[in-house]
Amino acid sequence: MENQNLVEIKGLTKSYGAKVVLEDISLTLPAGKIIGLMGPNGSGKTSLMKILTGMINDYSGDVRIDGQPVGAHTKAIVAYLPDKSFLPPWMSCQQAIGYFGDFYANFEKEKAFRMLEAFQLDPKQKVKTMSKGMQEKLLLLLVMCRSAQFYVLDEPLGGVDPSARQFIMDTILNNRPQGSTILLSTHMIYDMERVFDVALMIGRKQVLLNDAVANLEAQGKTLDGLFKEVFPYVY
Amino acid sequence: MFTKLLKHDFLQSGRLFIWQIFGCAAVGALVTLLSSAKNIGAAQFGVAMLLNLLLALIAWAAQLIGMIIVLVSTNRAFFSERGYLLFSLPASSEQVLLSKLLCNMAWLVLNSLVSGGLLFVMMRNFSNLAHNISDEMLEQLPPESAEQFKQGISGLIYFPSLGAVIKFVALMLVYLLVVYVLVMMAAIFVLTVSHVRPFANKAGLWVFLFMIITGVGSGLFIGLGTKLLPEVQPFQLTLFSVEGSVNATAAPNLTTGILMLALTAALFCLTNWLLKRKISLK
Repeated sequence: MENQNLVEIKGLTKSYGAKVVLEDISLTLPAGKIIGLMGPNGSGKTSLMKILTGMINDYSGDVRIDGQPVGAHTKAIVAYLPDKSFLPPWMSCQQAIGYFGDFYANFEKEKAFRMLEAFQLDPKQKVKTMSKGMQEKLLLLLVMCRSAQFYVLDEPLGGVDPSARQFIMDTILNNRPQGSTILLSTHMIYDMERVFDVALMIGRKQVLLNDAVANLEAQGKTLDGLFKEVFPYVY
Repeated sequence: MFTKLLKHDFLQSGRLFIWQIFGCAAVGALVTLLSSAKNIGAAQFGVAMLLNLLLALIAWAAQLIGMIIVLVSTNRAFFSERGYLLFSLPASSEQVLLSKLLCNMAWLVLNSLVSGGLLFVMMRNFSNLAHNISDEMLEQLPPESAEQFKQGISGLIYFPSLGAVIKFVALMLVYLLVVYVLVMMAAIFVLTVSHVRPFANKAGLWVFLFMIITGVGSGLFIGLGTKLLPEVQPFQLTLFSVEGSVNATAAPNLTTGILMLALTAALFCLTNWLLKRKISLK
């Protein structure tokens, strides 16, 4: 069933021991939009993404994607790019593509091999012999070759130079299926402002902003300025 | 989805196990070849005996290494960065857990069969050595001692009939399967608990837990062994000797086996619940 809101979260609380990161938050994320997830370091961005993708299970509250609790069904429609390399070192590019092709019905193998060539990656090269940049390219390729409903991308632009940043953003935007939703966390707010449809800011254990960028612009606000306003203590 | 998980798990573990299994088979074949010379003297006999004793050491080392391989690979697949790959798959935690359990068991049983084969080869080689020993060497021993020596070594392997051998191997397979499923499940359970708050980073607690589980498991294991093969002590070489083959005809008592499987099922449910509700990947 098509949902206007792809993600619905009610009363979500996540803590690490005594440290509460997200406290009783409720929010919805609209389908078909590019959502920028912003917040200072340690604000719970990665935790929220891990909860949505089923990597974190010890939380309280109700989290639903496409009307379903996080589980096998939601994992089939969510493509997740974590902020770390997760491929075994012995795996080659073509083995990784074979693995994704085997498990995900929405993975396009031919497109993956085309992109491999475009990214100048050797299909037989193993992960352990790749540079960090090459591994990131491979992971991005694997995620973006899935025709997913929901892409969860954890800091894909972190620690890369401006031209690589442009390459990554182009890859994401050009390979995103029509109508799909992207949740992308970043600190590069100024660069990404024109790309986001919705701005989601979290910090101090709460959702501090969840609004369409167009609404903010209508009020004469920029995301960069708003971020500094919402998190003044950071600067 | 489950068959795909099984396929990939099996191939991934196989990358490591296949070398170990081929290595053991190659060493067994080489030592057999070196032990097959006719009319051997004292020096050759001594070397051949040592090489064959080395086979026993390799067999036990292969068992230990096999257990380490499955535990390390399971820990990495579930709880390291690679967990992001495994737990992103559109599979239920039951499927992931069962696939890993079955795959680990399959490789461990295969590994055990190869190790058992090495021990069998060792005793067969001992028997052959006794027959191939040179007359000159035997003449150096008192006649009675020489006869006792030959009979002692050649009597290491004796099976009354082919049927008894088949029954013995079949019983051993069932025995290994039941034991390994419990041991593997206990190990995965303990690994999982060691990543759950408040047990995470508290090594003492989960080592204690593992000791309790393996203690109970070992008790059941010895119990089952005693029921299946009443006069045979588990893990002793006599499993392959006269007593073992005779005892292979003993009717198995399933009670202990069922108890072990019930404990395994309980651990499976508990581990699955922990994976579903309590695990957070770093």
